[in-house]
Amino acid sequence: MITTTKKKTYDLRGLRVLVLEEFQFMANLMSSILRDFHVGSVVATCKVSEAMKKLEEHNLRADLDDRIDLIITDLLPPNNEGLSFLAWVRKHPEKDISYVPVLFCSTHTSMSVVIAGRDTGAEEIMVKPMTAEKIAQRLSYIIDLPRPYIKAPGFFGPDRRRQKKAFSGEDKRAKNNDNLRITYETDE
Amino acid sequence: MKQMNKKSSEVEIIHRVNRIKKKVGGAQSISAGVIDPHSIQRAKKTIQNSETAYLKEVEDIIPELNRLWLCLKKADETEHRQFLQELSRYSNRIKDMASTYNYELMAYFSESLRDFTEKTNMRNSAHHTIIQAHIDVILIVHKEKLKEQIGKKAENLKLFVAQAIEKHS
Repeated sequence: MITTTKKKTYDLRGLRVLVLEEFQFMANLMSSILRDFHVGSVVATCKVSEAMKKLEEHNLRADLDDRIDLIITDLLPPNNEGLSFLAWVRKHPEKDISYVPVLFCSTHTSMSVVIAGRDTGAEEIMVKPMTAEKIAQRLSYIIDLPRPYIKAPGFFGPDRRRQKKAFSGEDKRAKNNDNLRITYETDE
Repeated sequence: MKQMNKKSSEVEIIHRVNRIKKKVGGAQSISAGVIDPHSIQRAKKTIQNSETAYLKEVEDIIPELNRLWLCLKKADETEHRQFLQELSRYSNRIKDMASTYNYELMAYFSESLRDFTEKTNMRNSAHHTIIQAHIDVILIVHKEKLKEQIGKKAENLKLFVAQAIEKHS
Protein backbone atom coordinates (compact mmCIF):
# COMPACT_ATOMS: atom_id res chain seq x y z
CA MET A 1 0.00 0.00 0.00
CA ILE A 2 1.32 3.39 -0.91
CA THR A 3 0.87 6.05 1.70
CA THR A 4 1.29 9.70 0.89
CA THR A 5 1.96 12.31 3.51
CA LYS A 6 0.41 15.66 2.92
CA LYS A 7 2.98 18.40 3.33
CA LYS A 8 2.28 21.13 5.80
CA THR A 9 1.36 24.48 4.28
CA TYR A 10 3.36 27.21 5.91
CA ASP A 11 1.62 30.17 7.42
CA LEU A 12 3.67 33.21 6.45
CA ARG A 13 1.47 35.78 8.23
CA GLY A 14 3.95 36.13 11.07
CA LEU A 15 6.85 36.98 8.76
CA ARG A 16 8.29 40.41 8.15
CA VAL A 17 10.36 40.74 4.97
CA LEU A 18 12.63 43.60 3.96
CA VAL A 19 12.78 44.16 0.19
CA LEU A 20 15.57 46.22 -1.34
CA GLU A 21 15.03 46.69 -5.06
CA GLU A 22 16.71 48.96 -7.54
CA PHE A 23 13.56 50.84 -8.51
CA GLN A 24 10.03 51.32 -7.31
CA PHE A 25 8.28 49.24 -9.95
CA MET A 26 10.12 46.04 -9.04
CA ALA A 27 9.91 46.83 -5.31
CA ASN A 28 6.13 47.09 -5.65
CA LEU A 29 5.90 43.92 -7.69
CA MET A 30 8.00 41.93 -5.22
CA SER A 31 5.90 43.30 -2.35
CA SER A 32 2.66 42.30 -4.11
CA ILE A 33 3.96 38.78 -4.70
CA LEU A 34 4.92 38.41 -1.04
CA ARG A 35 1.53 39.73 0.04
CA ASP A 36 -0.11 37.18 -2.26
CA PHE A 37 1.87 34.57 -0.32
CA HIS A 38 0.25 36.07 2.82
CA VAL A 39 3.53 37.39 4.19
CA GLY A 40 2.41 39.46 7.16
CA SER A 41 4.54 42.53 6.65
CA VAL A 42 6.70 43.78 3.79
CA VAL A 43 9.08 46.69 4.23
CA ALA A 44 10.17 47.81 0.77
CA THR A 45 12.73 50.39 -0.20
CA CYS A 46 15.01 51.34 -3.08
CA LYS A 47 17.66 52.96 -0.91
CA VAL A 48 20.44 51.08 0.86
CA SER A 49 20.60 53.67 3.65
CA GLU A 50 16.87 53.26 4.26
CA ALA A 51 17.22 49.46 4.29
CA MET A 52 20.00 49.70 6.90
CA LYS A 53 17.92 52.06 9.00
CA LYS A 54 14.82 49.85 8.85
CA LEU A 55 16.79 46.75 9.74
CA GLU A 56 18.33 48.41 12.78
CA GLU A 57 15.00 49.93 13.81
CA HIS A 58 13.21 46.59 13.70
CA ASN A 59 15.87 44.14 14.79
CA LEU A 60 17.55 45.98 17.60
CA ARG A 61 14.30 46.31 19.51
CA ALA A 62 13.45 43.90 22.26
CA ASP A 63 10.17 42.85 20.69
CA LEU A 64 10.74 39.61 18.75
CA ASP A 65 7.53 40.03 16.73
CA ASP A 66 8.86 43.26 15.27
CA ARG A 67 11.95 41.70 13.75
CA ILE A 68 12.68 41.48 10.07
CA ASP A 69 12.98 37.75 9.42
CA LEU A 70 14.25 37.80 5.88
CA ILE A 71 15.91 40.20 3.46
CA ILE A 72 15.39 40.09 -0.30
CA THR A 73 17.89 42.30 -2.06
CA ASP A 74 18.81 42.96 -5.64
CA LEU A 75 22.42 43.33 -6.78
CA LEU A 76 21.69 47.01 -7.48
CA PRO A 77 23.97 47.49 -10.47
CA PRO A 78 26.02 49.21 -11.82
CA ASN A 79 27.74 49.82 -8.47
CA ASN A 80 26.53 46.58 -6.91
CA GLU A 81 25.32 48.29 -3.78
CA GLY A 82 23.25 45.20 -2.98
CA LEU A 83 26.50 43.32 -2.36
CA SER A 84 27.78 46.11 -0.12
CA PHE A 85 24.52 45.97 1.79
CA LEU A 86 24.84 42.20 2.19
CA ALA A 87 28.42 42.65 3.45
CA TRP A 88 27.19 45.29 5.92
CA VAL A 89 24.55 42.86 7.24
CA ARG A 90 27.04 40.04 7.74
CA LYS A 91 29.62 42.30 9.40
CA HIS A 92 27.10 43.91 11.73
CA PRO A 93 28.17 43.59 15.38
CA GLU A 94 24.64 42.61 16.47
CA LYS A 95 23.64 38.99 15.91
CA ASP A 96 20.01 40.00 15.38
CA ILE A 97 21.18 41.61 12.17
CA SER A 98 24.21 39.63 11.06
CA TYR A 99 22.28 36.33 11.02
CA VAL A 100 19.23 37.51 9.09
CA PRO A 101 18.78 35.25 6.03
CA VAL A 102 19.32 37.02 2.73
CA LEU A 103 17.90 36.09 -0.65
CA PHE A 104 20.13 37.76 -3.20
CA CYS A 105 18.63 38.50 -6.65
CA SER A 106 20.24 39.63 -9.87
CA THR A 107 19.45 40.12 -13.52
CA HIS A 108 23.13 39.44 -14.21
CA THR A 109 23.49 35.81 -15.09
CA SER A 110 27.26 35.60 -14.95
CA MET A 111 28.86 33.08 -12.63
CA SER A 112 30.98 35.83 -11.07
CA VAL A 113 27.87 37.55 -9.71
CA VAL A 114 26.53 34.29 -8.29
CA ILE A 115 29.87 33.56 -6.64
CA ALA A 116 30.12 37.11 -5.30
CA GLY A 117 26.66 36.75 -3.71
CA ARG A 118 27.59 33.41 -2.17
CA ASP A 119 30.97 34.60 -0.91
CA THR A 120 29.48 37.73 0.64
CA GLY A 121 27.05 35.63 2.67
CA ALA A 122 23.77 35.17 0.79
CA GLU A 123 21.58 32.27 1.93
CA GLU A 124 20.04 31.82 -1.48
CA ILE A 125 20.63 33.34 -4.88
CA MET A 126 17.94 33.92 -7.44
CA VAL A 127 18.84 34.81 -10.98
CA LYS A 128 16.04 36.92 -12.43
CA PRO A 129 13.51 37.02 -14.10
CA MET A 130 11.50 36.81 -10.95
CA THR A 131 8.59 34.42 -11.06
CA ALA A 132 6.14 33.45 -8.34
CA GLU A 133 7.38 29.86 -8.42
CA LYS A 134 11.03 30.84 -8.12
CA ILE A 135 10.40 33.12 -5.16
CA ALA A 136 8.28 30.47 -3.43
CA GLN A 137 10.98 27.88 -4.05
CA ARG A 138 13.73 30.06 -2.59
CA LEU A 139 11.56 30.89 0.42
CA SER A 140 10.99 27.17 0.97
CA TYR A 141 14.75 26.53 0.81
CA ILE A 142 15.38 29.21 3.40
CA ILE A 143 12.67 27.80 5.69
CA ASP A 144 13.45 24.10 5.25
CA LEU A 145 17.14 23.92 4.46
CA PRO A 146 18.87 26.39 6.72
CA ARG A 147 22.61 26.12 6.55
CA PRO A 148 24.90 26.42 9.53
CA TYR A 149 26.86 29.64 9.71
CA ILE A 150 30.60 29.61 9.28
CA LYS A 151 32.83 32.04 11.09
CA ALA A 152 36.28 31.77 9.56
CA PRO A 153 39.16 34.09 8.74
CA GLY A 154 37.86 36.21 5.88
CA PHE A 155 34.33 34.83 5.86
CA PHE A 156 31.17 34.96 7.89
CA GLY A 157 27.92 33.62 6.52
CA PRO A 158 25.94 30.52 5.64
CA ASP A 159 27.97 27.42 4.81
CA ARG A 160 28.98 27.63 1.17
CA ARG A 161 29.29 23.85 0.91
CA ARG A 162 25.70 23.17 0.02
CA GLN A 163 25.98 19.89 -1.83
CA LYS A 164 26.54 16.81 0.23
CA LYS A 165 28.72 15.04 -2.31
CA ALA A 166 32.10 13.39 -2.07
CA PHE A 167 34.83 15.91 -1.34
CA SER A 168 37.64 15.87 -3.89
CA GLY A 169 39.99 18.63 -2.71
CA GLU A 170 41.80 19.19 0.54
CA ASP A 171 39.31 19.45 3.38
CA LYS A 172 40.79 22.35 5.30
CA ARG A 173 38.20 22.09 8.05
CA ALA A 174 39.03 18.44 8.75
CA LYS A 175 42.77 19.04 8.46
CA ASN A 176 42.80 21.76 11.08
CA ASN A 177 40.64 19.91 13.52
CA ASP A 178 42.22 21.70 16.47
CA ASN A 179 41.00 24.97 15.11
CA LEU A 180 37.46 23.79 14.46
CA ARG A 181 34.72 24.65 16.91
CA ILE A 182 31.11 23.57 16.57
CA THR A 183 28.41 25.49 18.37
CA TYR A 184 24.76 24.57 18.77
CA GLU A 185 22.65 27.54 19.69
CA THR A 186 19.59 27.11 21.85
CA ASP A 187 16.46 29.19 22.09
CA GLU A 188 16.66 32.35 24.16
CA MET B 1 51.99 33.75 20.01
CA LYS B 2 50.91 30.22 19.15
CA GLN B 3 47.61 30.87 20.90
CA MET B 4 47.13 34.02 18.83
CA ASN B 5 47.77 32.16 15.56
CA LYS B 6 45.33 29.46 16.56
CA LYS B 7 42.67 32.06 17.27
CA SER B 8 43.20 33.81 13.96
CA SER B 9 42.80 30.59 11.97
CA GLU B 10 39.91 29.21 14.00
CA VAL B 11 36.81 28.07 12.16
CA GLU B 12 33.51 28.00 13.97
CA ILE B 13 30.46 26.17 12.67
CA ILE B 14 27.35 27.60 14.23
CA HIS B 15 24.11 25.61 14.12
CA ARG B 16 21.33 28.09 14.66
CA VAL B 17 17.82 27.55 15.92
CA ASN B 18 15.56 27.66 12.88
CA ARG B 19 13.48 30.61 14.05
CA ILE B 20 11.96 31.31 10.67
CA LYS B 21 10.55 27.78 10.44
CA LYS B 22 9.11 28.03 13.92
CA LYS B 23 7.51 31.32 13.00
CA VAL B 24 5.74 29.87 9.96
CA GLY B 25 4.36 26.98 11.94
CA GLY B 26 6.88 24.23 11.34
CA ALA B 27 8.59 22.65 14.29
CA GLN B 28 12.30 22.04 13.75
CA SER B 29 12.05 18.29 13.61
CA ILE B 30 9.35 17.88 10.99
CA SER B 31 9.97 17.49 7.29
CA ALA B 32 9.70 20.13 4.60
CA GLY B 33 6.47 22.03 4.15
CA VAL B 34 5.11 24.03 1.23
CA ILE B 35 4.08 27.55 0.37
CA ASP B 36 0.36 27.49 -0.36
CA PRO B 37 0.03 26.56 -4.07
CA HIS B 38 -3.07 28.79 -4.34
CA SER B 39 -1.08 31.77 -3.19
CA ILE B 40 1.57 31.00 -5.82
CA GLN B 41 -1.16 30.99 -8.48
CA ARG B 42 -2.44 34.29 -7.11
CA ALA B 43 1.05 35.78 -7.35
CA LYS B 44 1.37 34.55 -10.94
CA LYS B 45 -1.85 36.36 -11.76
CA THR B 46 -0.55 39.51 -10.06
CA ILE B 47 2.44 39.46 -12.39
CA GLN B 48 0.26 38.83 -15.45
CA ASN B 49 -2.16 41.58 -14.48
CA SER B 50 0.57 44.16 -14.15
CA GLU B 51 1.79 43.76 -17.73
CA THR B 52 0.10 47.02 -18.76
CA ALA B 53 1.98 48.80 -16.01
CA TYR B 54 5.21 47.34 -17.41
CA LEU B 55 4.47 48.80 -20.85
CA LYS B 56 3.78 52.19 -19.30
CA GLU B 57 6.97 52.03 -17.23
CA VAL B 58 9.10 51.28 -20.29
CA GLU B 59 7.34 54.05 -22.15
CA ASP B 60 8.52 56.41 -19.41
CA ILE B 61 12.06 55.06 -19.37
CA ILE B 62 12.72 55.34 -23.11
CA PRO B 63 12.70 59.20 -23.16
CA GLU B 64 15.02 59.01 -20.16
CA LEU B 65 17.39 56.78 -22.15
CA ASN B 66 17.30 59.31 -24.99
CA ARG B 67 17.88 62.22 -22.63
CA LEU B 68 20.85 60.51 -21.00
CA TRP B 69 22.30 59.64 -24.37
CA LEU B 70 22.05 63.27 -25.55
CA CYS B 71 23.66 64.49 -22.33
CA LEU B 72 26.40 61.89 -22.64
CA LYS B 73 27.25 62.98 -26.18
CA LYS B 74 27.59 66.60 -25.05
CA ALA B 75 29.28 65.81 -21.75
CA ASP B 76 32.80 66.57 -20.73
CA GLU B 77 35.11 63.56 -20.59
CA THR B 78 35.14 63.66 -16.80
CA GLU B 79 31.37 63.06 -16.79
CA HIS B 80 31.33 60.15 -19.24
CA ARG B 81 31.56 57.45 -16.62
CA GLN B 82 28.68 58.88 -14.62
CA PHE B 83 26.37 59.11 -17.67
CA LEU B 84 27.36 55.66 -18.90
CA GLN B 85 26.51 54.24 -15.49
CA GLU B 86 23.12 55.91 -15.67
CA LEU B 87 22.53 54.44 -19.13
CA SER B 88 23.54 51.05 -17.77
CA ARG B 89 21.17 51.46 -14.83
CA TYR B 90 18.18 52.32 -17.02
CA SER B 91 18.87 49.56 -19.54
CA ASN B 92 19.15 47.11 -16.65
CA ARG B 93 15.76 48.28 -15.39
CA ILE B 94 14.22 47.54 -18.76
CA LYS B 95 15.93 44.15 -18.86
CA ASP B 96 14.67 43.34 -15.33
CA MET B 97 11.06 44.15 -16.19
CA ALA B 98 11.05 42.82 -19.74
CA SER B 99 12.31 39.41 -18.67
CA THR B 100 9.70 39.28 -15.89
CA TYR B 101 6.89 39.80 -18.44
CA ASN B 102 8.44 37.54 -21.07
CA TYR B 103 9.27 40.37 -23.46
CA GLU B 104 12.28 38.39 -24.64
CA LEU B 105 13.34 40.66 -27.47
CA MET B 106 13.26 43.76 -25.25
CA ALA B 107 15.22 41.86 -22.59
CA TYR B 108 17.76 40.86 -25.24
CA PHE B 109 18.41 44.40 -26.48
CA SER B 110 18.37 46.07 -23.09
CA GLU B 111 20.82 43.52 -21.74
CA SER B 112 23.01 44.04 -24.79
CA LEU B 113 22.94 47.83 -24.24
CA ARG B 114 23.67 47.42 -20.52
CA ASP B 115 26.66 45.20 -21.25
CA PHE B 116 27.91 47.48 -24.01
CA THR B 117 27.87 50.56 -21.76
CA GLU B 118 30.37 48.79 -19.54
CA LYS B 119 32.95 48.84 -22.31
CA THR B 120 31.98 52.00 -24.18
CA ASN B 121 34.72 54.44 -25.05
CA MET B 122 33.12 57.78 -25.85
CA ARG B 123 36.23 58.89 -27.74
CA ASN B 124 35.44 56.18 -30.26
CA SER B 125 32.68 57.55 -32.49
CA ALA B 126 31.85 54.03 -33.67
CA HIS B 127 30.65 53.28 -30.16
CA HIS B 128 28.18 56.16 -30.50
CA THR B 129 26.63 54.41 -33.48
CA ILE B 130 26.29 51.17 -31.54
CA ILE B 131 24.54 52.85 -28.61
CA GLN B 132 22.25 54.76 -30.95
CA ALA B 133 21.37 51.50 -32.75
CA HIS B 134 20.40 49.93 -29.43
CA ILE B 135 18.20 52.86 -28.40
CA ASP B 136 16.51 52.86 -31.82
CA VAL B 137 15.65 49.16 -31.70
CA ILE B 138 14.44 49.41 -28.09
CA LEU B 139 12.03 52.12 -29.21
CA ILE B 140 10.78 49.99 -32.13
CA VAL B 141 10.38 46.85 -30.02
CA HIS B 142 8.37 48.80 -27.48
CA LYS B 143 6.20 50.61 -30.02
CA GLU B 144 5.35 47.41 -31.84
CA LYS B 145 5.04 45.40 -28.60
CA LEU B 146 7.31 42.69 -30.03
CA LYS B 147 7.68 39.91 -27.50
CA GLU B 148 9.59 37.01 -28.93
CA GLN B 149 13.07 36.74 -30.31
CA ILE B 150 11.87 34.71 -33.25
CA GLY B 151 10.08 36.05 -36.33
CA LYS B 152 11.22 38.08 -39.28
CA LYS B 153 10.99 41.49 -37.62
CA ALA B 154 12.87 40.33 -34.55
CA GLU B 155 15.56 38.70 -36.67
CA ASN B 156 15.98 41.87 -38.74
CA LEU B 157 16.33 44.06 -35.66
CA LYS B 158 18.87 41.68 -34.15
CA LEU B 159 20.77 41.68 -37.41
CA PHE B 160 20.70 45.48 -37.50
CA VAL B 161 22.35 45.73 -34.07
CA ALA B 162 24.74 42.87 -34.75
CA GLN B 163 25.89 44.58 -37.95
CA ALA B 164 26.36 47.89 -36.11
CA ILE B 165 28.50 46.13 -33.52
CA GLU B 166 30.49 44.20 -36.10
CA LYS B 167 31.07 47.21 -38.32
CA HIS B 168 31.91 49.72 -35.62
CA SER B 169 33.57 47.88 -32.76
